[in-house]
Amino acid sequence: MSEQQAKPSRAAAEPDATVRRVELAISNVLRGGVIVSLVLIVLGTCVTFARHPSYFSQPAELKQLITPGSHFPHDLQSLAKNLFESRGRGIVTLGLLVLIATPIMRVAISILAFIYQRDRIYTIITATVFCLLLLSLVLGAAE
Amino acid sequence: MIGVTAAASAGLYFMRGDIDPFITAPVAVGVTLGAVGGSYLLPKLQSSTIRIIFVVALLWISGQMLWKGFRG
Repeated sequence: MSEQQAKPSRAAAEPDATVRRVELAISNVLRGGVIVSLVLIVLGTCVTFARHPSYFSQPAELKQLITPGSHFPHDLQSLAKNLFESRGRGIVTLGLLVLIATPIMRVAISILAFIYQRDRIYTIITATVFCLLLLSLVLGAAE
Repeated sequence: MIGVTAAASAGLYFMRGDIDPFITAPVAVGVTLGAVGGSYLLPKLQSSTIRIIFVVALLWISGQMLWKGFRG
């Protein structure tokens, strides 16, 4: 009797440890993504103000910068060009991209985690969610 | 700080060029600092104190909106 009771509890303890490891991995991804993106955003803003000191003294120029519809990179090609010229705008945009990509990465990591846990149903569900996320990005870019 | 469901629409807005980096950047930094600071402070504060802070913040925001509405 005691043998039978011990067995399920040991079997239950092992998935718990796996789940815990997976949760830790996901939390590290989320925390890392947010920290990296924050650093990039702050760095980019500092670079912008360092390269254009006139933003401090000329409110009109600053207003133009924060007016909706001002020019900034929103595709990868112009983003790469901006980054290559080390423009603060490009660095801020990269930070925002990292911020947006963090939850998508979280889904990708949990696919791997469910494969690792041999949980077929949840692997399929998570993979579907991931595909839908990517599909929405692809369709949105195409339009 | 972005949820999984919101990431889909955030990516869309970004690719359509509707996310202005210099408007979003201060928001992102402020939200993150506020979230970290808030979750650090929340267990240490009494709920009545939090309520007062929340009321003051809402009054501030509504005053700001009214002011902008009247000034046009």
